[in-house]
Amino acid sequence: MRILLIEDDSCLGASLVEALRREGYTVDLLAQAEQVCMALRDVHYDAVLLDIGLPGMDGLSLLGQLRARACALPIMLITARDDWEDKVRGLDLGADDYLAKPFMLPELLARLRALLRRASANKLACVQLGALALDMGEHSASLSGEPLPLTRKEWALLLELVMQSPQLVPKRKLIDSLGHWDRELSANALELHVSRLRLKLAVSGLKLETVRGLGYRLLEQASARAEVTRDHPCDGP
Amino acid sequence: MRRALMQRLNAALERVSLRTRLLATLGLWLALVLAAALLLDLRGAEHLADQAFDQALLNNAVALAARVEIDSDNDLDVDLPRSAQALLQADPLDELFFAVFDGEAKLVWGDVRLAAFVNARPPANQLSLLGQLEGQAVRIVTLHHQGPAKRASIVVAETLNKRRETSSQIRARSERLGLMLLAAAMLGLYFSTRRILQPLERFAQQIEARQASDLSPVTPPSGNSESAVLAAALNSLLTRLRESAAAQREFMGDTAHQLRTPLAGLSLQIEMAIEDLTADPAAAPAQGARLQLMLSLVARLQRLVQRILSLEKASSEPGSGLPAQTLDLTLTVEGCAAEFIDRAERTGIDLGFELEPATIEGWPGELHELLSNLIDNALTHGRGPVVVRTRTTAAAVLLEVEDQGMGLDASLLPELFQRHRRGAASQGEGLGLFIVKAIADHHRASVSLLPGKGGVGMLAQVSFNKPGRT
Repeated sequence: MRILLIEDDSCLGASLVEALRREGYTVDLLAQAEQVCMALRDVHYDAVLLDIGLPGMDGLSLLGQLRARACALPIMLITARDDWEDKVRGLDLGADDYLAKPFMLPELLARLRALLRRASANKLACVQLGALALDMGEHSASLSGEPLPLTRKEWALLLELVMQSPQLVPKRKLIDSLGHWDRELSANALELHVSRLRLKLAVSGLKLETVRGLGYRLLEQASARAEVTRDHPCDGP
Repeated sequence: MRRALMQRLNAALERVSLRTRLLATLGLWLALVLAAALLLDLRGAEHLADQAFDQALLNNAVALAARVEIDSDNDLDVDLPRSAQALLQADPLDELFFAVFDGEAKLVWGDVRLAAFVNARPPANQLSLLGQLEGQAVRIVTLHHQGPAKRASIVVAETLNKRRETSSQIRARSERLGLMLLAAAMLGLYFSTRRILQPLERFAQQIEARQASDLSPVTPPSGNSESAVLAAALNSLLTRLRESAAAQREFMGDTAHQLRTPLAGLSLQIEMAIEDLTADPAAAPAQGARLQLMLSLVARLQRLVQRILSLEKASSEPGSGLPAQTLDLTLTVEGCAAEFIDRAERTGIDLGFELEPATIEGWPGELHELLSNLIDNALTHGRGPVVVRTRTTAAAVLLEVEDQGMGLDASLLPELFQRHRRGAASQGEGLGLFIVKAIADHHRASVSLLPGKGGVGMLAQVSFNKPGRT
């Protein structure tokens, strides 16, 4: 996985490069937005980490230009400003995620993984989370290579949770997206699907956690995550 | 010593209200002027009365002079019947004394004791002179060169009782008049100063009623020049204050923002150092503990920076001048919750949500700060389950955060929303509730801190107006 990092602060840039390389990513660091277009022409990147506050052209302008040129690369904004308006503007301009400084390394890595997962899902490729693999083309799941039988609702539910992991997915959003198939899905029905899915994931090393009254999130448990290697081959059929 | 006393007196005077001082000063001067005027008037009235009495005394002397004749021995004689003499001395108040002398020494008729006054002359502009007779004060009138051959000198004296009586009557009348005048004037002064100073007092009340953070220009209640001048001076001061506050906020915000980048780098470096250490079997465990401590210190610094930014947001204009949006509070809660779930899990606190539809008008960024601070407080001070609730009642839209912690010291309540105020056992930087209050003010919402369910813990309740109501 090759990441393009655009960050003007040399200390933070170097720290980020080192932290990401340790995780097995290949990272290129640029300090100015103006150099980005050329870099993107020459090299294929899987994701871009873009600081908003840059000398010269700022991150948001660059984001706008890239999206205007139909560049579909997953882009995560990193910013020292966390104004709500900035965030909304960034997401409106087509950023895939938004991370406010200061952040802890695990959060950055989790978000980056989610970003890459969503990107592979969009390419109908294989999505990996811990021992779980989702084949987006086939709509099928496998756990450590073994096929995992799922109903259509369970698949949709799992997909939402995997895409956002480890972020919280609000109940409301799940009801909306599952209601696509069944308009009358109730909160109780959702809970039923969730508890069935939880049973099926019991030995996966993934934890389907309930945030009381708000929603659910899918977590890789610490021991399970250590086994995962970068560029993991798809185990699914 | 005396100077210190004077200073204390002056200071005490300056604390007295302007109106009281105005009334006291004007009243004092008025009383002095009135007293002086009345005193002069009194002197004049007494003088006139004296003149009248002197004239009467002189008339007696002239009448007596008409009775002086020369007998056959060429001696002077007074032909006054006893009855006439009794008539002259019939005054019930005063005693009258007469004497007629031949020349200046020889008593012809009357009281010999008056011989001492034959040569006495009254002071200029007066008809009579003051003297002592048998220990009594008397007024004396003398006439010389009277009668046939102009040989007779006539002396008439009278005690002062009538005059004293009259003068005390005049004085009493003057005092009554003066007091009445003074009272009438003071009453007039009282009401007119009240009326004149009323706009100023209303102006003061208007300024007093402002919120501490409100630096908007003042408008004087009436157009009179003094309040206008005062308002103009105040407004120019407020403008300068506003500008300097804005500059300070901007500086604070910029600095805090700039702090975030090095903090992020520092935290990454420490995290990587911890990883290195975990991978190295030969490392001393104390090093690991040291790095963990550094990491938690960095985390605290990061939270402090976050608080400073919240504070900047909270102390600027509502919504930083942007119009308010109609928004769903449950979405704010969802956005906020993500930040706290991990922390709640780490500290073993059950963080739950009870969300019912709640629509208000406001600014999402600010509401995010408000809720973050409330949840942060609950997780810091709370022990048992923490519940975040939204609901809509008939009167208001409520956002609540309830914990089961040590609750609230009632004695701290009034100060709790002030900057840097915190409970004794708190770890916070003491800005949280101040920020909550400021943002609630922006939304015209009220914040109450109530005891939690069953008297355990604390319930922080923010009560918003329903949309469309102001």
